[in-house]
Amino acid sequence: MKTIEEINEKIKKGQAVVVTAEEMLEIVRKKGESKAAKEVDVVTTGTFGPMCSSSIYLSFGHPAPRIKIGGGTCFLNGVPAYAGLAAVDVYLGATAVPPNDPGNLHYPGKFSYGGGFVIEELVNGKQVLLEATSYGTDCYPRKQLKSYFSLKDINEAVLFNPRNCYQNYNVAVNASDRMLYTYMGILKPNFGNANFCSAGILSPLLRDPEYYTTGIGTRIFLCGGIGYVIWHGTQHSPGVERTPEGVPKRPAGTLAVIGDLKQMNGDFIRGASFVGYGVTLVVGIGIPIPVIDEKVAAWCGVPLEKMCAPVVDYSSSYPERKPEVLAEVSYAELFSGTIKLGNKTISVGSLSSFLMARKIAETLKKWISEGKFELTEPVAKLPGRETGIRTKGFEIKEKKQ
Amino acid sequence: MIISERVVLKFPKELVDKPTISALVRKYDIEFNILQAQVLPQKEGLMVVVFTGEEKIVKQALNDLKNQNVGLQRLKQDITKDDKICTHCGVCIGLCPTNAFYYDQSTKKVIFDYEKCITCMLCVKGCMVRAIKIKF
Repeated sequence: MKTIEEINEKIKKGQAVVVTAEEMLEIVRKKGESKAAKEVDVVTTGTFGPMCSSSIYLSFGHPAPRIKIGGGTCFLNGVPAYAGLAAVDVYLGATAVPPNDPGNLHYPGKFSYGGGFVIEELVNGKQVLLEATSYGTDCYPRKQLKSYFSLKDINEAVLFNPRNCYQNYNVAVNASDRMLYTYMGILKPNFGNANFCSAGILSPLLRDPEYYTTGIGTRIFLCGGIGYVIWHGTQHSPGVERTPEGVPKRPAGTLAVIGDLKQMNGDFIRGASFVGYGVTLVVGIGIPIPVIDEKVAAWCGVPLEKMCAPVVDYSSSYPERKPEVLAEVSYAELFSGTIKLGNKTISVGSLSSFLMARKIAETLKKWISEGKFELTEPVAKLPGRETGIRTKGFEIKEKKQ
Repeated sequence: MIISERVVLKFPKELVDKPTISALVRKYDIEFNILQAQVLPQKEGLMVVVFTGEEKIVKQALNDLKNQNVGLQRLKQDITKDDKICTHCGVCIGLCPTNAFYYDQSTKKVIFDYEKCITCMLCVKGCMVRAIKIKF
């Protein structure tokens, strides 16, 4: 048993043993969990995939004369930002598209620009056009504002993501006879391909499946800067079915995270477009796992063969919100490049970049080894499986008489 | 030796309404497979074609096209994956019908093998960061 305080002492002295989750799997396999837990102090994880529930809020500072954007309108490079906050605070979501985007009018739509791209451009230091209107008040007389700005010109810019880091996710297939354009990518007809989205053995919440060390207040790598876990993410569903090792067999836990956009690095945060679906943001997250005991090492030693994901038909089950799962496939199969469904062999594509996940885990390992990043004790636990919480559907209702 | 040559053909306006390809396959013993075609009256036409046949004969046929003033480019030069943009996620790997994309197993980089590409364009549409571009 080690405390986080003891591990931090070692980090300060440059004596902590830090390995990536990929390396830890090998160490546990060779030496067993008890020896691995004694030898290793910190395991670093990483993930880099499209995460739609991502956003930023900005606070511009006040122009002279002042304007009350709050209650008015705001566009950033033509993309609508939410202006229902104070005078110069606005909120921009990753999936927002300009009002003149044709959407899926010419199916499948291209969705060539939107919130995710504005966020990426800001991180890369580019100038963005701010266009705001307001009704004008005695204290905020200006009715229009048009100006270019970059991150260094404004007071605050914060990445705030209500749901990231999905613990396990669907494998998407298409049972119909037409091409589908989804948030899981293009799905060819008649089970022509299968797409999944996970960093597997590097995935933060697959390595800490019971939220044993990750909790509210956990300091993390967020898109090249430092961020924090601030809550469980939306649709957090810890009560799903699990393997004997405690790893969820269905989409389960999620995290809400926050961090200073000004610290971030464009390599680890990217705007993205799914043809026929929309715009999103590819987010890079790395979470350190303090090896406080053997349990932590044991979870880090669960191999790909013992983790599985549900195969879901995106031509009917998903859009109709039916619970059917066609099959369960192991992550070993998914990472092999093909899965078998009945007697059909299906070629597998990944939405999550393993190369980038590895780069993130290695960067975090370097930060900790160099004493630049210390670990945190969670302020509060995330709701675990003991709560029985499972995300529920929305039932359409009439007004109560 | 039997070869398959993938080419992008640009037809000048005055050739668009002529049965150039039909005439070509009658004259030479070759097979053709049209992968992409954009032919509009009074406009420059564009076609991506695979010619298959005896190496010598395919070359003669291509020369014949050039002499008819048809613009001719080997296809592989027109397809690019920009590794500065690519995140190496591998969504293209599952989409590609000819396995032209694969992971380098040690680095986990997504590699594009031009030789296997048939320009079906699925990867261009499917790439979420638009790292794959095709220029005619």
